[in-house]
Amino acid sequence: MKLNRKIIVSVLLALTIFLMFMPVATFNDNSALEYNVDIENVEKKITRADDKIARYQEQGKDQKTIDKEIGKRDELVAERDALVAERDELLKNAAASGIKYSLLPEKLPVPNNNQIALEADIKAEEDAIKDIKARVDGYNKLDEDRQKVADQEKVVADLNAADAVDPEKLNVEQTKLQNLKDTLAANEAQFGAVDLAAEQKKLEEATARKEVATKALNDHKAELNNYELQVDMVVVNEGNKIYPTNFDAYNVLTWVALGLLIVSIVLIWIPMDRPISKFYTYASFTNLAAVLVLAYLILRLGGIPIKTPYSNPVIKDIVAWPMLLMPLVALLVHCSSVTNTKRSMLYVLCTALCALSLLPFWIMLVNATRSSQQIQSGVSLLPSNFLSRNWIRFQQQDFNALVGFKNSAIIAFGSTALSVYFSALTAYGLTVYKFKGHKFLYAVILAIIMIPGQVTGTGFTLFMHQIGWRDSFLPLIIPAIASASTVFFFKQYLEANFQVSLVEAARIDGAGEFYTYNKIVMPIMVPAMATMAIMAVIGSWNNYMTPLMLLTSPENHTLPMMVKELRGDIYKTDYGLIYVGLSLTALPLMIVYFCFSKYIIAGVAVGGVKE
Amino acid sequence: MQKVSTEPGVLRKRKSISYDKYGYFFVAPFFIVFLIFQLYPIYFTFRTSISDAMGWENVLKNNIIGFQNYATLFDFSTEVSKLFWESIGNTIIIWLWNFIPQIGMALMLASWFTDSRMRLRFQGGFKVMIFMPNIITAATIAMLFASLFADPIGPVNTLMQQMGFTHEFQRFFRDTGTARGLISFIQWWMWYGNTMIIMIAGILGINPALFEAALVDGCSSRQTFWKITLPLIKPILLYNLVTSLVGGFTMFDIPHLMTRGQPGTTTQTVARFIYEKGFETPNNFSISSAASLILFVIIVICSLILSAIMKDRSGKKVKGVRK
Repeated sequence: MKLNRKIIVSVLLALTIFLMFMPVATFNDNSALEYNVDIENVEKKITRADDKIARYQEQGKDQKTIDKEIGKRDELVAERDALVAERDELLKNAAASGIKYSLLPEKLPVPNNNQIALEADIKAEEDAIKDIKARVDGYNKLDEDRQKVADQEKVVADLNAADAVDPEKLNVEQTKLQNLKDTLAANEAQFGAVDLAAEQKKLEEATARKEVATKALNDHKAELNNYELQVDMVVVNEGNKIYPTNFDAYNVLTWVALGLLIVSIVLIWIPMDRPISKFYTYASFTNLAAVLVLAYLILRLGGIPIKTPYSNPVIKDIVAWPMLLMPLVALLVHCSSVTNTKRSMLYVLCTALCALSLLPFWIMLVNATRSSQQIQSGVSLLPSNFLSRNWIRFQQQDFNALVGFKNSAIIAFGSTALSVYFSALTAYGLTVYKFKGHKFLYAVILAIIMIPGQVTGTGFTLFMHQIGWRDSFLPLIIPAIASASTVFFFKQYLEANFQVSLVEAARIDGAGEFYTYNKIVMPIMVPAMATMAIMAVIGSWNNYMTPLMLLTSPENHTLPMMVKELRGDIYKTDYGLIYVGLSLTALPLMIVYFCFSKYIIAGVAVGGVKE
Repeated sequence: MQKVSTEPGVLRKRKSISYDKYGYFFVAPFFIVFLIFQLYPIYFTFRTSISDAMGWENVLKNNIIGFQNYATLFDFSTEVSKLFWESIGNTIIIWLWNFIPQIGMALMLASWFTDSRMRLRFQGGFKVMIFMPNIITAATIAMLFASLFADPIGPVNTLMQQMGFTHEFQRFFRDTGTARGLISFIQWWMWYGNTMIIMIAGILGINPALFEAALVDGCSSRQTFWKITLPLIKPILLYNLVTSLVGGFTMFDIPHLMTRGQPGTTTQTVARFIYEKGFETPNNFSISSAASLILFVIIVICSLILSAIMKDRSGKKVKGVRK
């Protein structure tokens, strides 16, 4: 690495460190906004006064009364104007009187918030106390139960002892006795072993713990009140979402960012004047990490809700953007000066791009296996075990994937077969036979490639309507015979891989022209045909607009058209289902793609190279 | 063919003359189908655009009313015309925000992948992964992103809250900037892999001797890229530009399914306009056709302008080199 580059990188990183000590966010003093309520009230009064005056004038009251009312109103207007002026004055100073925050060396001006943990503790202790009390009550109730049983036994015995026993009554009483005995047995099984003394001790302990926690919570709340800035816990807890409010970790992270930047600078200077060294690569990695950590810090800072009277953090772009961009520029300068660094960073970039390609589909597949509640509670990259449940629910919907599969397959394979066979035929005809106008026709084909299907969509559909082909698969299959780009691809392939002498040899042996094509030329073209067939199947499978215009009855809908049904109401409450539906439409294509990716990419590469 | 002088050559020439008429049979299916299913519909579109066709019932019993529909579309005071030109504007904005990053990213990746000094490994794997979104049905991708960015509960919203970046959910599809940005992003994400692969093929098609000569002469990677690679892949760039332009102007699936033209009409594209006018009640086919043909003319003009610009410059460069 050249010295001047080293200096540029170091200066940029040093400037970033400097910016970390600059105020990156402000918490504006919003107390002025409290005036708005007062102003509104006064304005309401003014409107009322206006109404009153208008009414008086209408009723023809004497001038004196009206003047009095007007005077009252003017007073109100003056009051309002004073309030507005006061508020505006405060607002003007709000930014100045607000609290400024820089990443370093300040800590985030919010104390570490234990409230949630303390509240949870208190609740746990309360539950424990309730449990103990229930047990003690149960134990105490045992005596009562025993008494009841004894009483009942007495009643039964009395009945038995009596002379004229009503058997029905006896029966009732005996049943009662049996029930009471059962209850007693059940309660004894549950509470019989309760040790009253131990329970009492436990109760005392729990109560003590609860008191400690309550005191801690109160202390904590009192402590919070001493700070000017407070996190708005109501917002934080909203919707049962507990955002990480661990600001200790945040403060540590600010120092980590500083450390990464310093390490990057040091690592650049360690190899002295050697042009290539591992340390440069290490430096680029710490540099990258610093950029990511800084980006996280700033984004996280912007998301902290603050209690009134202070506003939520207002990020200063003039500090934040350079803080992110300067280390990034340093990294780019670094990469452009050292090839090894550039290579490592390219691996990082390419991996990130791969992740970007995969991530949406991965989330789709994972969410297909998660319950609605899990999806609501957050993003996860690990599958859950609700797939079968989602699948069963999904099958109860109107989404008839099988019909869509069948229709899409008929159209895709039909049109592909026609497209591949006839395009190869055309390409062969244009390559081998130098008939009059073949150059012109080839030019026409090249021009056709550029005609987008959508611009003729309306006319095409109306034409199909005219000949009665609308809502059938024919207009989606037959026109594939004239697919210009496939012809182009085959012509390129034939020119590179085919010799006219083969045909001549066949002719000498007495083969007809079409026989030669079917038996000799086609086998040569199989690799190209396979490539184009895959492309054509995928292209036709993915086509959306043309089938949408043509196919009206639901039993003819293709799979992409059915995707729209996933907008239905059920999918807005049962979130897993939509992902099941989407996976169903995407997964087959992904499998096909990963099986044939080699051919597909080759097809794209050749198809694009045109002179 | 003209330079044939040897005996066997003459023989071949005579033979091929006798067989050449078969060529017509070979190309006949293509051109018959082309005439019926592509050229005639263009005429039919024109015919509809100068008629008063409306609604499915009497669509075939329409009257020719002249160029009234075109007049409506070019009369900037009517609602229809305002919507049409707004949708053209939207389409261009969305296309530009997708195309510029797309071509930039594709060019950079292609030059890195083909740089002999870099010797990047796992290229095949990277290509396969980066290209993948291009293969998946655009309709599926539109719905996927609609649910990923849904509000109030969508993975992106919950993730942003999980990370603590925001404490209130974002309505991505209610804001013009993010709605357009998302469409552009999806288009970019789906197509930069495709463009990259075409560019790589183009760069690999350049004579390696040129790069070797540059290496011997001490060109840096950047110089090689700007002075050799870029001028030589200009035809491919042009091809890409034109196909992307055509694709961009006819963009339909993603705006139609993901944003439905909302918020307001700020993500309404031309293709969606054409579809909505013709295929949603009251099925105003004539306006739809007129809009189609105007779009067609715009595309042709843009393509011609682009190729004129690109060809002109490359021609000058070649002359300069020869001198």
